[in-house]
Amino acid sequence: MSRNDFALKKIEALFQKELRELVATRSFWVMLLVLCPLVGFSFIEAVFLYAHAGESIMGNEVLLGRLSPLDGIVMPTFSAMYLSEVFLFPFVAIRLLGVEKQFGSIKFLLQICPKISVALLVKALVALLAFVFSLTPAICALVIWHVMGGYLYMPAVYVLLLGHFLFALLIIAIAFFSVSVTDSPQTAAIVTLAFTISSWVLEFAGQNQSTLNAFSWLSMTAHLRLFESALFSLQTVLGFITASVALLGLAAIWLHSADGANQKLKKSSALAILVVVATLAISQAFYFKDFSENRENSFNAKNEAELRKITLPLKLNICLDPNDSIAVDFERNFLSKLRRVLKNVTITYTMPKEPGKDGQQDPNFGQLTYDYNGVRLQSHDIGARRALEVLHMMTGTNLEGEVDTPYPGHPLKGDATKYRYLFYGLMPALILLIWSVSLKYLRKQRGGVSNVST
Amino acid sequence: MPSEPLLRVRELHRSIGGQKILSAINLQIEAGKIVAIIGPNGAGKTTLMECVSGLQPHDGSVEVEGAVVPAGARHRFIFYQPDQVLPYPDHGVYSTLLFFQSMLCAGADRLSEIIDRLKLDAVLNKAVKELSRGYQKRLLISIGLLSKSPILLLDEPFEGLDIKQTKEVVAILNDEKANGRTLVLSIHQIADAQRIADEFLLVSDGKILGGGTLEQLREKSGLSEGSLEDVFVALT
Repeated sequence: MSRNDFALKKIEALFQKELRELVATRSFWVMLLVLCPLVGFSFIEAVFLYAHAGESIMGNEVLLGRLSPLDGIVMPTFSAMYLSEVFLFPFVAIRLLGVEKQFGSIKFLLQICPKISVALLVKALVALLAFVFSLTPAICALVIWHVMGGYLYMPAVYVLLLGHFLFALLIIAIAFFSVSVTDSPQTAAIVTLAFTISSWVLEFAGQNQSTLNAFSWLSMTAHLRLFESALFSLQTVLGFITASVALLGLAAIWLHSADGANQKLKKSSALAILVVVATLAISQAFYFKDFSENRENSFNAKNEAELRKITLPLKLNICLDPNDSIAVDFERNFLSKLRRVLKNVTITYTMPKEPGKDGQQDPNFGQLTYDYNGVRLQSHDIGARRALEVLHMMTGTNLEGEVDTPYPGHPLKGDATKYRYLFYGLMPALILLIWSVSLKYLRKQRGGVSNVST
Repeated sequence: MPSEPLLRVRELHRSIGGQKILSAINLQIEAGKIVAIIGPNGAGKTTLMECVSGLQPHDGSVEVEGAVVPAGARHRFIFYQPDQVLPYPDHGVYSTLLFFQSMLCAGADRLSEIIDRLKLDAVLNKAVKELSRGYQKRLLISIGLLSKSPILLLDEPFEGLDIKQTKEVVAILNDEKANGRTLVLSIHQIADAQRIADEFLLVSDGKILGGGTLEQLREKSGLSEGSLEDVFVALT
C-alpha cells in the first residue's frame, strides 16, 4: 500500500468511527424527534395563515403580488430549523468532539492522527451530514406544499438552503472551538449557546439604534436572513466560510496539547491576522444576486444595469432618525438595494435637531442630500421612485422610476392540518424506528466478529 | 564510540500554574529494556510520560537515538497508552479495536494475536462502557500493542488486573521486549514493578531520585540485601 492509500484508509476509519459516534449520540435523535412536530406546527400554521391571507385579499392584484410562498411558507417552516440550529444542533456537534475530551481518548487521537485538523474536518463533515439529515422534516413539508398544489420558486429555496447549510457549518465550528477551550462538554455547550444567543440579540440590536448596533454585522442570524430572502451575497458566503475555517483552526490550535498557553496564544494571534487579511480581501468580493421570484431585494434589472454605470463616489445624507418609519421604509425600498448595486456609495444619517420651545421643527428634517461629481442636490421627497429620478438627473444614467415587476403572487387555499399525523406521529415513529435499527446495527457489528478475529 | 541510548531526556521541566510538576528530569533508556517508573500517586509519573510522548508542553529535550525529536514528531517513535481512559464508550470493543488497527496500520493477524493473548474474545460483542475494569485495562493495553512504535509507554498497565491477569500481561510484555521493543511502564505497585522491569526509575515530587538496576539502586541506597521497596523508602 502506498502512503496515500494508508492516509485514505485512516480517513475512512475516522469517518466510520464518527458515523458510529453520531448514531450513538442521543442528542442527534432527540433533535430529530423534536424537529418533526416543530417543523410540522410551523408549516401547518403557515399554510393556514397563507390561505387566510390569500382569501382576504382575493381580487386585489397589488396585494396578491406580495403573496410569495417564500415569505409565507418556506421561511416560517425553516424558522423551526433555525431554532433547532441554535438550540439543539450545537449539542450534536459538541458531542462529536466532546466525547474525546470527556473520556480521555483525545490522548489517543493526538497520537494516531497527529494532524488534528484532519480529524476535526472529518468530524465536521459528519456533523454536516447530521444537519442534512435533520432537514428531512422541512423538506417533507415543502414536498407536501408542492403536492397540495403550492408553488415553489426553487432558486430561492436553494439559496435559503445554502444559507442554513453555511449557518450550520459555523455552528459546528463554534461548537468545536468551545470544546477545545473548555474542560467539559457542559461548559462547551454554555459557550456555544452564548455565541448563538448573542447572535440573536445582535440581530435585534441591528434593527434598533442601540449601543450594540455597531456590532450587528457580527450577527450570524442577520446574515442568515439575507439567504432567507433569497439574496445571494458572495461576501456573506465567504464570510461564513472564513469564520468557520478560522474557528476550526483555533480549535485545532487549542487541542494541540504539546503547546503551552503562550505558544497557543501566538498561533491564535497569527491566525487572527490571517483572518483580518482574509476579511479585507472578502470585502472586495462585491457580488449580489437576487434569487427571489419577485426581485423584492433589488431594483428592476434595467435600472440595476444603469446604476452599475455609476463609477464616481456617490454620497447620500438623510436627516432622519434611522428608526423613523420613513427612514426604515426608505432603507428597505431604496438604500439597501442601492448598496448592493453601487460599491462606491456612502450613506449617512444626521439626527434632526429637537423641536425648539416654539415647537418649530428642524428645517432640515427629512431632507435627503445627494453629492455626486461635485454637484449637490437636496430634496425633501424621500421615496424610491423620486430618489431614482434624482440619481438619473445627477448621473446621466437612463434611470426610470422604479417600476414594480409584474408578479402575480401565488395564493393557495389549502389546509395542511390533515398532515399533522405525519409530523406529530408517523415521522417521529419512523425516526424512533431508524434509531432502534441503527443501534441494533451497531450491536450487530459488535456481534458479527467472533469468527473474524481468528 | 559508545552508541546512543534509544531514548534520552534532558533537563525536562513541567510547571502548571506556577507550580513545578517535574523538575530537571534527566534519564536515558537503552533499547530492548523494560523500565519501570516507580513512585507514589501524584509523584509526576503520568506527567512525565505525557511530556515524553509529546502530549504535554514542557521545557527540555527528548532524543531518540541521539536526535532531538520535537513534540509533534514523537508519535513516530513513541506510543503512549494512558491510564483511566475510556475510548469511545458507546462503540463496540471490536469496532474500537478495528479503528485503532486501521489508524495504527497494524495487520489483521496482529489484531487477532492481541485479541487472543489478552483474552478479549469474550467481550468483543460488548460496548466499551460495559466492560469491567480489568477488561477496560486489557483493551487499553491492546491498543498500545497495536502500535508499531519502538518505544511503548504504558501508564499503570497492571491497575485493575488480578494476579493471574497481571502474570499474563507480564508474559505478553516480556514477549514484546524479546521482539526488540522498549517498554516504559509507570507503576505505583512496587511488587508489580519488580516482577517485570529490568531497570527502575524512582520518582517522587517530580524529581528522579535514582535509576538503574535493582543492584545499582541497592548500592546507591546502601542496602545491599534490601528489596526494591526498602530501596525506594531509603531513597525518598
